[in-house]
Amino acid sequence: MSRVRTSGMSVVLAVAGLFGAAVPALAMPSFKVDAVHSTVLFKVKHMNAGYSYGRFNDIDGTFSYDEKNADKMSFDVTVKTESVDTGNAKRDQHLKAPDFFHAKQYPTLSFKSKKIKFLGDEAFEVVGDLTCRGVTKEITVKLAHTGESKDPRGGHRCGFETTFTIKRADYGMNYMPGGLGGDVQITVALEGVAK
Amino acid sequence: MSTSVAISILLFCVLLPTVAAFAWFVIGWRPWRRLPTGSAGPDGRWAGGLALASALCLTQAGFVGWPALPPTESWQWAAWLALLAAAWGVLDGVVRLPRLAGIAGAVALAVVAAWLSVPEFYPHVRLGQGLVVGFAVTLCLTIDVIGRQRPGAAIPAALLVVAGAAAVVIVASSNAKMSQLVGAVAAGLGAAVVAAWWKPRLSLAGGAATVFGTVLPVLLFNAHASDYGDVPPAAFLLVAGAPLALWLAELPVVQRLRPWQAAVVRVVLVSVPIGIALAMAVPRLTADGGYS
Repeated sequence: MSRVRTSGMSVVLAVAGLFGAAVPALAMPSFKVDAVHSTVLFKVKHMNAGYSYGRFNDIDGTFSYDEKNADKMSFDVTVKTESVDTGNAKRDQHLKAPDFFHAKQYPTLSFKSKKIKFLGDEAFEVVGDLTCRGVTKEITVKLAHTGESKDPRGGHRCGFETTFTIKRADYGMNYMPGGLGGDVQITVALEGVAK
Repeated sequence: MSTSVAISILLFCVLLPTVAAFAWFVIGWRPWRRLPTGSAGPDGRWAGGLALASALCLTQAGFVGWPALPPTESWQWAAWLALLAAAWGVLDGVVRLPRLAGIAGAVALAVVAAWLSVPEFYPHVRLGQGLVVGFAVTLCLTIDVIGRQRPGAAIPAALLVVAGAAAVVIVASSNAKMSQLVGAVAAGLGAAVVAAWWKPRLSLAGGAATVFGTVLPVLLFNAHASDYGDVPPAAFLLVAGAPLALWLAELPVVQRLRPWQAAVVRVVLVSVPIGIALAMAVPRLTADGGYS
């Protein structure tokens, strides 16, 4: 009798588990950032003349997308500061040093969304915490939903892109104020694969 | 480099530190005073630490940026430690503490410096702390003892070579801010050379020895800990240990030389390890294509 009761409960739990697993997948697909097809770019003015560009090659994170309910969306993205790449090895060494990202003490930069609002026409306003060099500041960015599709392997892919500007001094990066611009423009293009 | 950046570097990393340090050396030793023959004269050692610390702090505040207390990064303790060492130097110089108390103070400061300034991310924290304590105590005592016995421009000139080389080795490790701080100390030592030329009784014993002996190992170690320029660790060690070569100039064979010849020998002795360190570090400045 006891065995029968246990088996019955197991069935109920299994069914409940199936529904439990299925419900969030249907309502709010969750995506893992595809580092190969995602980009974090930055540009900063050099000597008040031209712009220097750089990127981070190691990106990780997850995001959730619900086209009908922005409140259920979220973004959690991390980049490794050691992966900074400006096309000049000596400059990259300096960027990893304490004068800039201080990669040994602060190995990652991160963004974690707190509130997302649908603006219409595939655009969102995202409020979140940007953490750089141990300093966390709330920023607001406009995010565009760039597309969605199935890849040849059947994976569900979804993309977003945003460009925003921060003041590097806000994050303790005050090296050479006259030689490098104070504003850093950052472009983040994410492509995620449904988990 | 834009003109405004060049002016900022010249002003805050060279001119102001030199002038401030020179002012402290002059206030301390009052070179215009005529002293009776054979008189030891007023002891201005209390001002030496203030001279070097003010040079470093002017660069820190005017160009690098003044750090919070407590700082968020270990290397930023250098300015606070320089002020602490300068305060100890004033106390030591004004109260004229017993020699043993002065040594105990230097050791205590070295321990505090090591505890605060070795970063947690360094893989061998205990080793790092041991190195900072060892070099800080050894440098403080070396400069203090030899500085008392050999006042004049020779010791400041030898230490100017060391600080200048430290600035080069540190910048080769991709740490420009730390290099600027050591450069400011070099500017202060340049002022000491000029002041000592004017007033040969000037000595770096006391506060100046404590500031130099504390700040140099702290910045060299932090540059090594965050070395992205692949500078060999031996280069940092050679620069930190170079002032110990001053002991060789205490040999009788050097003491028999004329004062200016002994001074040259001191600078040359210190320049040997410095030359080897620079030979290791300078190629790293232009490696991987360089950049400015």
